[in-house]
Amino acid sequence: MKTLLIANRGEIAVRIIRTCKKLGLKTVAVYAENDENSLHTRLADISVCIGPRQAEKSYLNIESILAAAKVYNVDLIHPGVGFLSESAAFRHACEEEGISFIGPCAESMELLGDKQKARETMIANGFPVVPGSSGAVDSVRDAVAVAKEIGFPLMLKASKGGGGKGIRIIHDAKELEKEFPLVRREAEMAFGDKSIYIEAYLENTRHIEVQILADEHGNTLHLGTRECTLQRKNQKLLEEAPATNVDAAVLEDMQNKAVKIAQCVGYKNAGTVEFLLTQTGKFYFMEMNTRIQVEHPITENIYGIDLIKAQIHVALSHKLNARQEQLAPKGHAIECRINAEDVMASFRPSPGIIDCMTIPGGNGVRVDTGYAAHDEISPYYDSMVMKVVCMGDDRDEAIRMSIGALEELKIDGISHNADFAKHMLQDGDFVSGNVHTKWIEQVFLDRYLRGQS
Amino acid sequence: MELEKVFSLIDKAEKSSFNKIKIEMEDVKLCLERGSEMSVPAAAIPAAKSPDTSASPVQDDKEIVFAPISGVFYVAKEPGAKPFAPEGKKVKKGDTLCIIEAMKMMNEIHAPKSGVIENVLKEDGEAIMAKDALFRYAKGE
Repeated sequence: MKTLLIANRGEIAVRIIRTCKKLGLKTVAVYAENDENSLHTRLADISVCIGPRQAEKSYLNIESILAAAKVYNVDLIHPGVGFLSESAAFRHACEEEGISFIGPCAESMELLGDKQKARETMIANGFPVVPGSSGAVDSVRDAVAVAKEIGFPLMLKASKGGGGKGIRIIHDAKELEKEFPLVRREAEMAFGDKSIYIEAYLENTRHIEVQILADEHGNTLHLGTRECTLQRKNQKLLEEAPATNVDAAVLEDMQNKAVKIAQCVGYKNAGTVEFLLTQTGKFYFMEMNTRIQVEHPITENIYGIDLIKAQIHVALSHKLNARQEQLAPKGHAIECRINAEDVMASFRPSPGIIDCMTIPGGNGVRVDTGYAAHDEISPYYDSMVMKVVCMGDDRDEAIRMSIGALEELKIDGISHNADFAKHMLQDGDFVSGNVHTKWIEQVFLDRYLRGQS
Repeated sequence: MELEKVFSLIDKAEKSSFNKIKIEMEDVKLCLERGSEMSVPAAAIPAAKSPDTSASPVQDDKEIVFAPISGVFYVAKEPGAKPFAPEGKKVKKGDTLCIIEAMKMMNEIHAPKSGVIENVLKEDGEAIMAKDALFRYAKGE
C-alpha cells in the first residue's frame, strides 16, 4: 500500500484524500497548529503538525513537510493548489528524498512560473501572445518605444508576478514615465525580481482555459475548455465547462494550440493553459498553470474523469489509457465559489465559526468543502468556504440547478456570497454570454447593490 | 445561581424594552445588552463596547476603536515602515490607523473620529479577534 502526503489544507486537501481512499492509498495530512481539528486532518489516516499558523512556518515550510514525509515513509506528495504547488524548489527537495511530487517536472515549473520567460518561449514558437514587448523592458525609453507600437492603455507586468498580482494599467505617456520606476521597485519588493514587461491592455475580453493532461509516454490530451470570465479583482468567482457562446472553430483551435504548447514545453501531468479571448474571436496565450486548478470539478463532471486520480497515475509513471478521439464531453457544468465575505461591506472578509450549515445535494450537485458545522473559517488563509458544482444536460439546466442549489445552501455564523452568485446566474447578461472579465466590477456589482437597497 | 434561572432571565430581558440590564447579587454579576453578541459577567466586559451599537447612549466608550474582523494586526503598511497611528499621534476621522490581515487581504482600519491616540492596545503582528480593542483615544479630544 502506497502512502500519499497532502501538502495543503481546506477543501483541496479533502478533495485529494477522497480520491486516495478510492484508490486504497494511505493518507498523511499535515496541518498548522490552529488547523488541528480541521476536516482534512480528521479525514486522513495520519495527521502531522508542521508548525504554527503562519503559512511560511507551516504550509510553506518545505523542511517541516519533508520531515513529516520521512517519518511516515511517504511515496507521493500532492501539493494541491496555492502554497507550494508551483514551487520548483519543493519539487527538487521531494526528488532528493526519493518522493514523487505530483506535478510537472521542475524545468516546466520554472519556465512557466516566470511569466515573461513563458511569453518569450511562446513568441519563439509562434504561439499568439498579447501584443507587447518581446522580453523584459529595462528603461523608460524602451517602454516608450513599445508604447508607440502598441498604444495605450497598456499594462506593466512583473515578470515573476501572476495570478492577477504585480500588474499596473497605464493610460498615457506621462503616466508611463512616472509609474515605470515605481512598478519596477514594487516588483523587486514583492517578487524579488525587478524585471517587468509590457502588454497591451485589451478591453472586453473573456478568460477561457484548456485543461491538459500529459504522461511520460508521449501522450498529451486536452479535456476541453472552461470559461472563467466572471472574476472580481482578478479572482475567479464562477466557472463553467465547456465554454459556450464562442465559435466552435475558435474553441477547437484553442484546444489544439493548448496541446501544442504543453508539448513544446515538455509538460507532464495536469496543467491548464489560460487564454484571453477578444470580442473579435482572436485569442492570446496568458499563462500556463502548472498544477491542478480550483475549478477542476467542472471538467471532471463533463468528461467523467477523476483528475486527481489521473494525476496520481501519471506521477506513478502509468500511461494515460485514453486517446483524444475517445474523449467526448457530455452536458454542462457550473461551479460557484462560496467565499466567507460580506458583499454589502465591500466584500470584507468574514472569518468566524460556522454555527450550522445546510449543504445542497441531489443528483448532479457536488459540493467540495474543507469545513463542517462548528468548524472555524480561519482569518489566516483564503476565504473560500466551498465550491457548489452543478451538472445538467445543457447550460440552461445547469444554471437552474445552480440557482436551486444556492437557494438550498445555508451557512450560519459567517457572511458569504451565495446570494450574490445566485443573482449573477439570473442576470440576463450572464445567461446570454454578454460578459467580460471586468463585468462584475463595472456592470453587475452596481446592479446587485441597487437591487438590495 | 442556577443556570435555568439565568436562561429565564435572558428570556425575560429579551422580551423587555430595555437595551441593557445589569444584575448584581452576592455571587453573580450578570450584564445583558441588546445589539451586542456578548452577555458575560460584568467583570469580563471590556472598558467599552463595540462602536457600532449606536442605539446605546453616548458614554466614555466612544474612546475605543475595536477590530471589525479577526486577523493579524499591523501598525504600518510594511515591516520597517512608519506606524500609521503611534501613541501621541493626532489623527483625523477617516485616517488609516492600522491594517488587519484577514484571508490574504490587507484591510485598512480607519479612524472613526478625529483625536489623539493615547494607547495602541495590540502589538504589531499580533493575532487578534473581532471586537478586540485596538486603540484608545486620549480623553477630552
